[in-house]
Amino acid sequence: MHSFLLLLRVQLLALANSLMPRRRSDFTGRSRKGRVILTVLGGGVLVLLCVFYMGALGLGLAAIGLGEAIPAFAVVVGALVSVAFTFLKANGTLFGLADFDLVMSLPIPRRTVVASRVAALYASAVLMGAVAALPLWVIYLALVNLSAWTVICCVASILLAPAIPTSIATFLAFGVAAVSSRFRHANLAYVLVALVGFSVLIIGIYGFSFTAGTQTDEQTFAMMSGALSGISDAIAAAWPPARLLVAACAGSPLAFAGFVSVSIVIPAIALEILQRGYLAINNNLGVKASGGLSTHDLHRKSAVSSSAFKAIMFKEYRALLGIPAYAFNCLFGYLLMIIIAVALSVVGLRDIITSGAIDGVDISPSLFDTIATQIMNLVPWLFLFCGIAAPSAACSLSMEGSGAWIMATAPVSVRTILGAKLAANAIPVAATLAISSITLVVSGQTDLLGAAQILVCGFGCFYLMVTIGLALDAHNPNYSWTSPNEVVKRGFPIMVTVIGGMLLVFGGGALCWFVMDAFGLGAGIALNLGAGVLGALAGQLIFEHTCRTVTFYVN
Amino acid sequence: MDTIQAKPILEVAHYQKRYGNKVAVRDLSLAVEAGDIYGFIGHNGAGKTTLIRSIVGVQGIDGGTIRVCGADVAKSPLEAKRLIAYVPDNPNVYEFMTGLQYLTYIADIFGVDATTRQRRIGELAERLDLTAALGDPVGTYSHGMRQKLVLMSAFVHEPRLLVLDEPFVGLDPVASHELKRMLHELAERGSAVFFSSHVLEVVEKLCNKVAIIRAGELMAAGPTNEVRGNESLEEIFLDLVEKEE
Repeated sequence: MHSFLLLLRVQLLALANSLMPRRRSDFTGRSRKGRVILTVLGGGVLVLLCVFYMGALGLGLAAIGLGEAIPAFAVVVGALVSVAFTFLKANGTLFGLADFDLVMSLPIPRRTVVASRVAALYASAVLMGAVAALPLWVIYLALVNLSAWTVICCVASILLAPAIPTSIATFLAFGVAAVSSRFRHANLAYVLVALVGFSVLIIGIYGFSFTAGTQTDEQTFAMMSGALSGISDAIAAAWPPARLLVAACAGSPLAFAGFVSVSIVIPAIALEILQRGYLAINNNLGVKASGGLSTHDLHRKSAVSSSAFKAIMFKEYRALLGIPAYAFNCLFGYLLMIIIAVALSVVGLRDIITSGAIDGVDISPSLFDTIATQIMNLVPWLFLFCGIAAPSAACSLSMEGSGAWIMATAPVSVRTILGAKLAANAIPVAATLAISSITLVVSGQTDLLGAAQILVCGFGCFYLMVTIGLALDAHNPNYSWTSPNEVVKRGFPIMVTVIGGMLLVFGGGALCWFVMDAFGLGAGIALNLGAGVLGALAGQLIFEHTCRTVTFYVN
Repeated sequence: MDTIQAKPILEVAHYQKRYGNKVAVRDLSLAVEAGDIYGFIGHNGAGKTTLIRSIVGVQGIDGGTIRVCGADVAKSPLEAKRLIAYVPDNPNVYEFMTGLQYLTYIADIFGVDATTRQRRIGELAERLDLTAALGDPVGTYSHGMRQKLVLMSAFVHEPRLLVLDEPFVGLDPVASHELKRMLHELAERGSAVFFSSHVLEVVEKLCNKVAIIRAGELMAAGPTNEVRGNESLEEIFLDLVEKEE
């Protein structure tokens, strides 16, 4: 037991540490403290958002008469959070771990080692699941069924609901890792699947909102009730523990015993299987895919040459597509631009407007045209919003990571390196903006002036923000990251680019609306075009300054 | 070209490097001529990697000068870097690239033409037995394979100065033997090799010149035979280091 607790403590500390900002040699105690406070505040905001959404879901279910189904939703929410967390953390915590040889050489039974690692994942999953499920339980207990028995059910649910999902996610994560290690393009496939999934999600949400917007409140309410009822039925059918807990909350001790039993027995069996196959599982992950390049292929493929600038650009694309965390954070913007352009073209601005806030208001055709044009003049800012979600250059220096010595020793000027990194980001953004603009022109949703605004404003302001990020990154790169998320999600340059970009979007959009109201549509158009040109010029000045002042040293 | 030939390949004069208040290397001078295989030895933290990193341009210098074929690494870094290849102690390269993509990337960066790179990559891959693995992502490589890949990338642009930090770590005996031959061949072609190592037997057998550094100061430098006299390099090294302590 002592060994188990010792190992568990190490694992929990490792998991907690992986969520904290990385210690860097150039951080003072104060800046380290500041980053910890920011991280805690950020986490607090996320918790509040989660509580808000889950509370709203609970209230919604109660309002439409599905209060009795809340425990099922609570179980599933807890389960989903556990699955997601375990799936992300199992690879590295339970298998594929860096300290595998050391741990397995310790005089500790294998079962204890595996149990300590599963327990660490499980404890973290319980904590996160509780944040998501507790608001639902509070609503259930407050509005539907408050008794000592339901409180016991609630506690049992929070503690045990993540047990089976943690076990399932562990095996799932192993399966994915095992397949990935044998598939040379696993990362690319992973990125593509995620992008497709994201697109489906966006289109689904948009489609639901749009459909709801075209109907009366009663119809929308009925549609939501039907959807939630359907989900509730699906949960009950697909996830037996949820069904058992609903029955338990309704007063069935047998169902409660069933819920507790399956939540303990299944993970125990899973743990036993895992510990018995632990060595084989980890050895399996050591088997890597090999293309077995032939001498002929080597001869053929090694004859391709290009300039240093182009080589660095293509290297950036390979990094973007080869590092999933980098792709997830920096490719969605392109996708969003295309989705918005297609949505606007297919549905049409008129339908979108009439499905939204001014639904039901009878407006004259001339007034509609004015509103439509004003809204269309805000579309460039919407595309800027998307461009800001594709800021790969803003962290591209730090992304060099432990391979930064290659760049530092390359006989290539700072201008070439930074220029290639910037071009690798700016060219696809410009191309996507151009495709989006052309799509809108061809579909008749905008004219050439509107398309020019999207291109000039969207690109110019994007260029400004991304060069600011690039400059910050070039002056103070973080090469010492152990996970790319430290750079692409929590890095200072990317945060400045994204948050600054959002402020620019909302500020620019509001100013454009104000200017159009005060001085007419032409003023709004001029503002959009002017903002784009100024943004591009300012961005170029920042880039020039960065090229002159930066030296690539690796500390 | 004649003026370049007349100068040492590497000339370090009164080099100094500080980290904060700590002086890592003080007033170090040495010269590496064409054809030299120059060993650089010292205990952990003596300043070997510090000097190497300044030579290759990964970090700046706080005093003195470093010239490669006459090009000042501080004032004309690109000119100097064009002549240098660097093999660091940790062969960390881009894991998202295949080995071949990495080699062609380095060849592009150093401007090696298509025909030359095709020939050199083929030869190097065969010598270091890495042909089949070059189509795989670097992320799947072992430490030794990465070391071979970085060595190949160093040789692919035929450097005038090859700088290596602990190059034999992680290499199997066959690759280690092949590397020694490759270093000799490079030196015979008129380039120079400068490398650090803790394996004194290798340095003694491989290098025609050697320098010993201790706590940031050069203790001895010159032809290996002169530095060690009638003793082994290990004995001389221990004498020099312990004498000062």
